Amino acid sequence: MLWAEFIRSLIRFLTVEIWFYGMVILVHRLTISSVFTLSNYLVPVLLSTLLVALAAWIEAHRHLPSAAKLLIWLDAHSHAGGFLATSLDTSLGSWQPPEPSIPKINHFHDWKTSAIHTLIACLFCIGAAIFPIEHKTQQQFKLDLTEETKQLQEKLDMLKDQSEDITEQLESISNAIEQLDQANDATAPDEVYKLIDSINSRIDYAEQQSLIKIEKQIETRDNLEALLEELLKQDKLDSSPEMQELAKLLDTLVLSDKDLEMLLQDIKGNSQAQKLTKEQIKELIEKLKKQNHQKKTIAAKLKKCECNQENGEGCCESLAVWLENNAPGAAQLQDLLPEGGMQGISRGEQTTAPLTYDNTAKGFENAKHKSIPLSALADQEGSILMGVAKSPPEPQQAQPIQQHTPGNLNPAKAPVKSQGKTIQPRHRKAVDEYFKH
Amino acid sequence: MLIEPQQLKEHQDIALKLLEELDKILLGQHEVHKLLIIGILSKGHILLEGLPGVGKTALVKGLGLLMNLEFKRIQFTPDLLPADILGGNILQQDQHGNRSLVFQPGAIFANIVLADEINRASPKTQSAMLEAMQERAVTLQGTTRPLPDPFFVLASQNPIELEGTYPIPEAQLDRFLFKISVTGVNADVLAQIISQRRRGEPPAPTWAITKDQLDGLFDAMDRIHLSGPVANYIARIVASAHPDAPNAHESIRNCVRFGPSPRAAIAIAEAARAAALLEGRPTVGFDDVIAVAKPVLNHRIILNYQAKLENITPETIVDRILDTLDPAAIDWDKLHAKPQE
Repeated sequence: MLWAEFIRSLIRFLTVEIWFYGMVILVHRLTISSVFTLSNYLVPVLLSTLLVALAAWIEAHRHLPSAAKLLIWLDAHSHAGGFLATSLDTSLGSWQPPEPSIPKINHFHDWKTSAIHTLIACLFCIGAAIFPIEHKTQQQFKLDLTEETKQLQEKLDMLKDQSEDITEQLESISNAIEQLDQANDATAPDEVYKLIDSINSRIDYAEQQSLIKIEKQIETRDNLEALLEELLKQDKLDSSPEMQELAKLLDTLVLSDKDLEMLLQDIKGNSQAQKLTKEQIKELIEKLKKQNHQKKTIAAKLKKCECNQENGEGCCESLAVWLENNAPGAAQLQDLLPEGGMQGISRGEQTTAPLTYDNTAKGFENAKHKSIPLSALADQEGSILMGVAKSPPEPQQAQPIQQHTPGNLNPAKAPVKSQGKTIQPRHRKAVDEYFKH
Repeated sequence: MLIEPQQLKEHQDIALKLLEELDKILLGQHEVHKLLIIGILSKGHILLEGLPGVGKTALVKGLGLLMNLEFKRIQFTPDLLPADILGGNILQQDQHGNRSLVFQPGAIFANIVLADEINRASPKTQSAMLEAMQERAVTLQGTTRPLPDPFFVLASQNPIELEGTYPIPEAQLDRFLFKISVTGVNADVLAQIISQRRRGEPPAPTWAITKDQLDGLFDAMDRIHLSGPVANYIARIVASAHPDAPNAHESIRNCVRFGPSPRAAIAIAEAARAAALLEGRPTVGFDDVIAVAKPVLNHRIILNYQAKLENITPETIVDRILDTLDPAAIDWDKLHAKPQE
């Protein structure tokens, strides 16, 4: 009797629970377009089922009175004529009490109705789980990376113009930039910015590689030019061992330098002769010089801020020298500030604290500090310390968009572009502002 | 030990036969007849209330014939004196010429007394009558004379024409086991009456209960078992009819001036036993209690003016009690443990 009552209550409570989870799944699919996975709901479903079972057990106990009370109740409601009640205090002897007809409990549904209700709830739950969400555009919160992407693309384009030998590498970087949009997820801004930094590093590395190659080419050409000039001076063009050596050297160089190969083809024309004539060598020297000049120009551009003898302006070292000679001192700066720079932190005193750069100020005598020249900071502008590694940076594959899982409530840590509203990353903006001023 | 089924069957048959015969005498009043027999089996006095001509007197007369007992009728009038009912000492001279006071029993010395229009007698006469009903004996000049056994008073009263009447005081109404309202009958029954009865006279009964059979019925009544839960239910019904009862219904608090006395609980228990016997059961059931609760309680619940304003009758109060009271709302284990302590 108790178990029957328990099962009856359990079915009713489970029906409600199924309806509830059906609603949850449907709302999930309709609002955040999340796909139902059992693992998302397993723990709450199990916990709530346990609670439901407990509630059903309590209700079953509450519905069922003691045996005596039940007998009295049955006697009164089944019109048993007092036999059941009498059996509590005396023997009925030869009397056979009439079979009590248990009246139906009106406020409960019968088994069939309960089963139908449960079935409908199950169908609803299943229907909610398979509710189509394909027609819905997957709403994703994205970071505003327009500026970052533009900068990367400009950098890459410049590198493409100047470097022809690393086409595959540049192509790979270009793909990575394209995939950046796919990997753009405001819910994981760290990953996105890591990816940007990785692409940046790859471009830098490609620049270095390109620079090294160009420098090597310049060196080779210089050597070749010197050798050819030497041969011309010594007039050893007819001596076969030198010419054979030159031919071998040219063959070796041509294999590793396509520009040189083209140069040689251009000079030789349709001639099949291995040996170069004097005029051809002269022409070669001239062209080598011209090509070398171009490559040096490219190398100079790639070197960025490195100082060279030709262009001293904009060089960091010269900037440092300029700053040393022309930058105002601390006292001059303090004078320039309103109220003599006495607007700093008062450290709890009634006066304003002086704004100073050294340990001469009151209260800062024993402060440990190290003065860093401004020139030392200039190099670091725009750079981000990602870590220290011996090996060059590896190209990082663009990560697929992380599927938003229910319950992932990580707040957006970076700017998000959602529904046309752009939110700037405050920390990046602050860093940019710092380096601008 | 409960009465054996076969024994009970014999007594039930007699009771049912009595009921059947009564139904033949007065057509269309089966429920009244049933209550009348229950009242007789409970050895209680019954007050029949109804309009003139509904068959109250005919019913009691027929019952007297069926019971094969001494039957007397007293027509109550305002000038009726107690001595007219109870009897008195009168001076008599014997054959030797000696004179002495000899008791001359009144009309009350009979097994069945029909007190017709009891509310027309003066309170003094009513009191004498009602005292005899309770004591089942008559005390006159220091001598107590028991009334015949069994002794039933079947009184009738008219609810209209109250001018010149003396309504029975509530305290004395309590002496009656039942107050049964005899109502009119429907057209079918009326057609049956006028077609089967010459001048409305009932047919003479062909069967009558013997004294032994009646004694057997009374013995069987004593063996009808009243279980604890049912007794508890009766007690709770009576208790909850009091306005000062802790679990009294709001309408009872507002409308009831006085609740029924403990005698009402005894009356319900007895009547319920008789109802069970009539049903052929050795145990009193909750349905038996419900069946007799209204005729037992309706003249024992005294209402106030608020009830009259709201047209609430004692029957309404009893209905509310029966509706709200759960027969199973008792802690039987606790109740059962008490006698052991």
